Amino acid sequence: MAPPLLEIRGLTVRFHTARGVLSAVRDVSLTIGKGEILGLVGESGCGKSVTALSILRLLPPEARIAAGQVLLSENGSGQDLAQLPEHELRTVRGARISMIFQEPMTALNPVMRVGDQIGEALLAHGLSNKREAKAAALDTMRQVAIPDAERRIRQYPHQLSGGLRERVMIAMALICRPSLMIADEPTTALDVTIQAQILALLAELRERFGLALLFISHDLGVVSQIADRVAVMYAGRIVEHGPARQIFAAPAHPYTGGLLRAALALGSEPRPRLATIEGPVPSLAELPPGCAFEPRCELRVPECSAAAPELIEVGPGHWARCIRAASRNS
Amino acid sequence: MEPLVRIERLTKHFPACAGAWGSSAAVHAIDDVTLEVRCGETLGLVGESGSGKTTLGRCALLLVEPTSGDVFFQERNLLQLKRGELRRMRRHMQMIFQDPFASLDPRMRVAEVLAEPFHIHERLSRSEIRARCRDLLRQVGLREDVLERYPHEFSGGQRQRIGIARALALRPRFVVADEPVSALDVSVGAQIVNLLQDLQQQYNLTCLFISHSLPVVRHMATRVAVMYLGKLAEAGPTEEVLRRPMHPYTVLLLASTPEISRSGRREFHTTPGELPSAVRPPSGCRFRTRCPLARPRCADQEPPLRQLAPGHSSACHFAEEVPSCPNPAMFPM
Repeated sequence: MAPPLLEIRGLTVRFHTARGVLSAVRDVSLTIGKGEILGLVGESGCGKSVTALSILRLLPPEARIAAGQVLLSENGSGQDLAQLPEHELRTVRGARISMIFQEPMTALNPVMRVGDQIGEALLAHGLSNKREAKAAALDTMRQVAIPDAERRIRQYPHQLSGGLRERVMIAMALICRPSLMIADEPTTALDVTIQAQILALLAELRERFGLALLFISHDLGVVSQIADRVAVMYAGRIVEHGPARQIFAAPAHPYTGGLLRAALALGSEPRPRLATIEGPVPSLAELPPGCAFEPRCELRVPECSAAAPELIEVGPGHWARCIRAASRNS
Repeated sequence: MEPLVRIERLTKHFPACAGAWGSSAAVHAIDDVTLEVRCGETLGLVGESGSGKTTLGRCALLLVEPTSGDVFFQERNLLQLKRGELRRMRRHMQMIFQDPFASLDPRMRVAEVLAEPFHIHERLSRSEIRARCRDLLRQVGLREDVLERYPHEFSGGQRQRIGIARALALRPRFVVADEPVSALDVSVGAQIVNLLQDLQQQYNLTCLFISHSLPVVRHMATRVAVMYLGKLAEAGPTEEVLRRPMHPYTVLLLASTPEISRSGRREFHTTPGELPSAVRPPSGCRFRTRCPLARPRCADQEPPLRQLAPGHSSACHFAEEVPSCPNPAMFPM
């Protein structure tokens, strides 16, 4: 069987701070198949953004990849991006794997016309000359449904709305026809009606171009709409992963269950009180010895604090890091 | 039930930069909005960016002075009060802000943050103030040892609790909560929502709850008003408006709100187009540029807010044609 497009194996990322070394990502393993959409969910500080940035080694200087591999396999050949020399990694960034970010205004160059920014990716990778790049930029702008593209191409980011800037960012990430796009909270800063348009666009791009997508979000509703598979992170580890439908219909890990119950949904019956997860998210500097979620877990038993649990298979392709998960799944 | 707060024909225009369209250009943040908040109720105010909901919340407390229109609190017109009188009124009307990181003075310890309302409005001894502060902390679920610490030492959820404690210090009658959980994680936000509900019941608070999130508003509010580009689109009992919306914009909002889909992905309900300019809003109905029901009349004549069912009104010429049941997940049967 062909290897997955991207496989992250045992990734550990440590931050060397004034207060000591913190493991933001601990032994994370993920796979993304060709044309697949993987949702990576978790709350602030869980390590999802650091995981994403590690793929392209866009981490800040105080962070190091302490262990693990990031295997990109295309056309039969595989490479470990974590070990690739910088000049080779640069050919991957923006061309074979691209990334879009949460705040379009911060990600775009305010003093450069959007058309030039979109075409820049092609020029940087030596894939065309200036004239062709301009034509390709226009084309890509139309593919991401930017209305009135001939006029917009000469505009600056501040002249565009949030939704349009997001589309520009997607165009920049799309123009080199990457096999994988990493989207870090791409719709969080957008209004809900515009968000719906962007999600529809991303789904369409996957259909049209076979684009795989790593979709990072704290918003479970958004992820459930777009992802084929989902991975849930807590305190730097993957605590559950599996087919999206399974995860949302029958979560196996108590944290996932708690998140779903706490998330307000329009369709559910009105509840007098929201079910919450007691207590705060743990600080990475003060993690408990056993399961990181144990102090807040309703299902905890003495064994939970003894040792950190491994991932157990609780269903076809569905894994959870909880010693009580298998028994719950009936 | 008497309205505690009445907003009448409120208009707020902010001056736009001179030059682009001439110095008389203005951002139409709110245009001719009339609303009331009844005693003891939570009125939800929903809208996206540019809807005017935050500005309306600020005008309700006269933190921002309206361009025209009136704000009545307990039947007294706030705009006609003298400065001293208004200041004394303010103890009855408070605000909980959206950004827990920007709404607390970083140079004030929690003890000072909570004591400030008492210094301004009451004459209590230091020990009395201290006792009241401890009481407040207990009510919002924080430990006493936070008093000597600074805001930056706390998480978003904890800061929001401090902000809530501050808002409730003087036992106000009316609270405007401006997106109180939008900046918080899901699990933390749920805790804050429960806290707000408890406090509202405990103190019989009247609340204007501003949010862009329909699910949160549905949970907190008995009545809801939907705003679009400075105007009221629809208002009515929450369940009514969400199950049988009577304005195309409400339908769009409902359809766009991501549902946790348990039965596999759904198709995306979208309407092409973006928010028009608030400096030169469309003539007639402001939503017509994105509305599937738009007709020539919509450009010529601004639709008045009219009552279509008991307590349920909509500003749409063709409200009767608005389909119900836009969000299939709403109706499990």
